[in-house]
Amino acid sequence: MKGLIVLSKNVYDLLISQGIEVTTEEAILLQTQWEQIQSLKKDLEEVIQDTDDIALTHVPGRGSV
Amino acid sequence: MYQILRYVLFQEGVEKMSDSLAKKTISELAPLVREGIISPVEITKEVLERVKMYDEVINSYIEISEENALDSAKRAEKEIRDGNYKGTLHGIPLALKDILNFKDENVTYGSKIHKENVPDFDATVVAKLKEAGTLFTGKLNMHEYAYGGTNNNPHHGPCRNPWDIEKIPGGSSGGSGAAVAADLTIASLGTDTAGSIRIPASICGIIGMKPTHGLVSKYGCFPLSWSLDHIGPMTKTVEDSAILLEYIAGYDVNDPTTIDMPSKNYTKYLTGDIKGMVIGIEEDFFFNNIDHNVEKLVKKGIKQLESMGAKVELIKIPSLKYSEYAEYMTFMGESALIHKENFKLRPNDFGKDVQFSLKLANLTSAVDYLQAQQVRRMMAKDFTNAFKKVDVMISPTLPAVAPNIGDDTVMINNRKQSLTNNMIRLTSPANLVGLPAISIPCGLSEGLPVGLQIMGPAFKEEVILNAAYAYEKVTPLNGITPSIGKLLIN
Repeated sequence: MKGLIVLSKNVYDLLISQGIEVTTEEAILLQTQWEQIQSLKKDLEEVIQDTDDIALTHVPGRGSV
Repeated sequence: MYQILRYVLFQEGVEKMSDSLAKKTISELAPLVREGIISPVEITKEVLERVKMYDEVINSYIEISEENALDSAKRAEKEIRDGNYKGTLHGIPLALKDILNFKDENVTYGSKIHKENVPDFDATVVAKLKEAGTLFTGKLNMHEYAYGGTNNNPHHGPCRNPWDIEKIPGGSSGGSGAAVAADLTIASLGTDTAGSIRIPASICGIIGMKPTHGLVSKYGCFPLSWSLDHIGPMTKTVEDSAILLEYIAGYDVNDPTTIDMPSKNYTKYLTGDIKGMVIGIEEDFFFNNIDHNVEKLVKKGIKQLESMGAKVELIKIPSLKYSEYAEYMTFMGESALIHKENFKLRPNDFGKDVQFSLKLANLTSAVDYLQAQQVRRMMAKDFTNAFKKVDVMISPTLPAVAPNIGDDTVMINNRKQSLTNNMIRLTSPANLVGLPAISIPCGLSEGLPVGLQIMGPAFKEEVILNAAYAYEKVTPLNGITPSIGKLLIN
């Protein structure tokens, strides 16, 4: 819990710095949710190259490339 | 004259007098309108009567446009009588999700912030439908700014599921799903960023189709996340989805993401012949953590398609395991920018759930967002390779049936799980790779509809439509509709 509060301070500071109002209690909930989303990355860092292209286009008849 | 003609048709067994015209489909009504057997005014009146009777409880409409609709219906009636029939949609009343711009009309996007919004142009899809002679009975409820899947709207009230009014209709196009299911509109259009057409279609027991990204113009549709947003049909039958798609598809100079390609007559592909069609099943992702009853119904549906001549092939798409992360990062990054100014100036005018989501969205970094785009490219390659081996892929649309209004969890095999994550888990991959997908009812579990999702290769809408059309003939839900009258009395 202590670690979560420390991390949620980062969430709090980040949102306040953008001019977005947030309470410390809300920052803890946001931190929890953020960590859940980050956990969906799984082993992504190991399989993806930082230099991989991001282009996404559909070519009719050839599908997505 | 119309009543006499209807009576004659009744005598001949063509039409049941007791059936409200509101319960009919576009393909049933169009020939009757064309031949002058039924007037657009009659259809519109019957739809509006039904809306008055049931929508106080269902709450699928944000705005009912009775006067405009009846004026347009009278105009259509005269045009048709004068020999100026425009085609299948002429004189057919529809109601669309309140996220599409209508020139000089109030369009709220389901929000408080845009409650006085009056656009000065029509969305391209609206313009196309107007050109086709369609008329509009009103604007339909939705999750605020399409930012959620429950349609529990704090500004316009929750929309209710016609199968059980204590349950959500799904979202964000929940008003469209509920209105089509309850025969409060003949058909509708919804928008889909992570499943917002297919989720309410599945939950409300109707057909919902998300076309390929770039097939239908998004111009004049308020965005949730540009690269994931789609507009598509929500209808009572597959044929009606094909009809609507024919009218709304096509290149639009105002939407740079649309593709300039020859138009297709989708209804011509509806043969129901699926002999030799190869169905891909991706078990690891699409059948993981699914309610047992839902899984049984979907697998029964696949067996039925096999009995009609389709073949099944097991496939693997490893990159799917990153799809939830990519979906979150993409729509959070894009939506944070779309609402940036309003969220700084008047955050409390957003509903509580959207406020929380937007705070979360503002934590997304450029690196998070770009990494999500790398995942999308990886997924696109995997899907393209998979579709070299199979014609369609089939999965459940949702892992479970509709939860109660107000719940933030869903029960899957007696385990409470996050509603948000499970709502979009199986539908969002098609948004990330932009491929077409359709949800079709495949049965009832606990008295609530279950949807079967069919995905296809880019710009092959006719393939998934025909697979759905074949399945529609044998689906156990064919012809079964919610008894909302009984629900309201209870």
